[in-house]
Amino acid sequence: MTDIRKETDSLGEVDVPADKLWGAQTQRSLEHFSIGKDLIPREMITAYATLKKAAANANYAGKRLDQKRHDLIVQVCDEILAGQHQDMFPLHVWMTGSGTQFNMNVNEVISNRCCQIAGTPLGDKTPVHPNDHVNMAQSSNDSFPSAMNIAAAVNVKQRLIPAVKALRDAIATKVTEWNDVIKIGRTHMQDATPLTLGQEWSGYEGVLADDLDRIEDALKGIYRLALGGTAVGTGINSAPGFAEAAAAEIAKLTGLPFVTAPNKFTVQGAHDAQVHLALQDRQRCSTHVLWPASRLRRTPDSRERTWLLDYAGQGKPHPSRSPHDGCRPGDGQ
Amino acid sequence: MVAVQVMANDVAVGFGGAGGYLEMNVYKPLIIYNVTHSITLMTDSCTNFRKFLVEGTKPNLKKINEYVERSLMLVTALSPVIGYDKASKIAHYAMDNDLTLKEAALKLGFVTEAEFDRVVDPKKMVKPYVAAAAA
Repeated sequence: MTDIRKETDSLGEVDVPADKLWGAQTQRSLEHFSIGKDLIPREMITAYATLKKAAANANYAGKRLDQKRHDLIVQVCDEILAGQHQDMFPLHVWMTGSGTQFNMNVNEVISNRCCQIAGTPLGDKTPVHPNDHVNMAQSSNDSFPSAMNIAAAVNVKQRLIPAVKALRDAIATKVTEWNDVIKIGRTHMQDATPLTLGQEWSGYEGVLADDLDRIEDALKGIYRLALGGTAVGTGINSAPGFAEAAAAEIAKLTGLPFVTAPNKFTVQGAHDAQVHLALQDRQRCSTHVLWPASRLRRTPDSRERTWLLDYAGQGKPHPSRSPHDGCRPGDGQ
Repeated sequence: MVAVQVMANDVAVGFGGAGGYLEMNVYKPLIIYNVTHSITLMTDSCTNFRKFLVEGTKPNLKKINEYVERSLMLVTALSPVIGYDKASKIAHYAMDNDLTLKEAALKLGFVTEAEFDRVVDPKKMVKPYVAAAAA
């Protein structure tokens, strides 16, 4: 039997495992939305820690949060950003569509970790209260979409774009290397007229270069944050200037050009920037990787003696490249 | 498979994006779940595709050359010189009799060997090029 402690929210008491940092609202969500195995993406933990730290900085600068509470919140956010407490965010994707319970999960974990640091009991909500201090001036309705945009932009900039660029550059190297290799071109899977192997691959380089432009273009909308709009976009309970100050803090922390959205009703009622990023650009990027991939698939490795043997070898020998099956001796890819 | 999953994720995000009700969209967790999934899949697959395939790929020059030599479509370059119909006849004749283009062209007597070698040159065919008839 796991030890439990009592946590409270506005609906009453809830039993929470004693060793967990989350509180009542997280525990309720775990029980009511125990659907599937998909957890809220880990990228959202980092994004939310960035957002809460930025909000605390903005509220401290605006004299709405005292230094002691500010320092505690920032310390805990830094711990989360350093990779700690990851197992304190157990909620499923399939929760309320505003992401409210995940916002409260973050607020509760930060509050309770502050209790630990300050030497107060878990669930005490002092010195840092999950709603009054961590969530100060925010609603899930404006913070969750802002964290979504932080997660998307940071991961596109730090992971996707470098990977696409590296692939484009690797292809560009081949374009130069094979500039003079004349081969037969094929359309409809049949012989057409000649081209160089470099020309053929320059097409693949070109689509990836175009995709990089499109991805950057899609990020323009992602950089507009809802934070400061609170419940329905009006900014009730958000101090004047908070939206701009918090967006500036997020820009500083991420190194990306985030700004407060010019119209909060737009970015809370719709997530067109996310749709644009996903539907337009990655679909293109995806199909554009499919094109060269399908080309190479039709010219398998040199052991296939009866197909379009344009390539003598693909890839480097690597443990992950494995024999085809147990049936055909010497066959493998 | 990765590309198909990314496209499928985009379908979910599209439906989620259409889920604005009154003052708020209520598909936020679904949207970011699929967007981050796609970012991860595309990042990892681009990296692996580069490391384990693109970077080590080498052309099979012997085969590439053989295909160029054997291709009947090099006849395209002859069109401006002898006309489309005769060029077509050469290609069909070569195909039906298992000959090279050159053998077929000479057998049908539409061009001289020197003319054929001058016009049907794959090196000239990889950029804008219209062969002129012999003076």
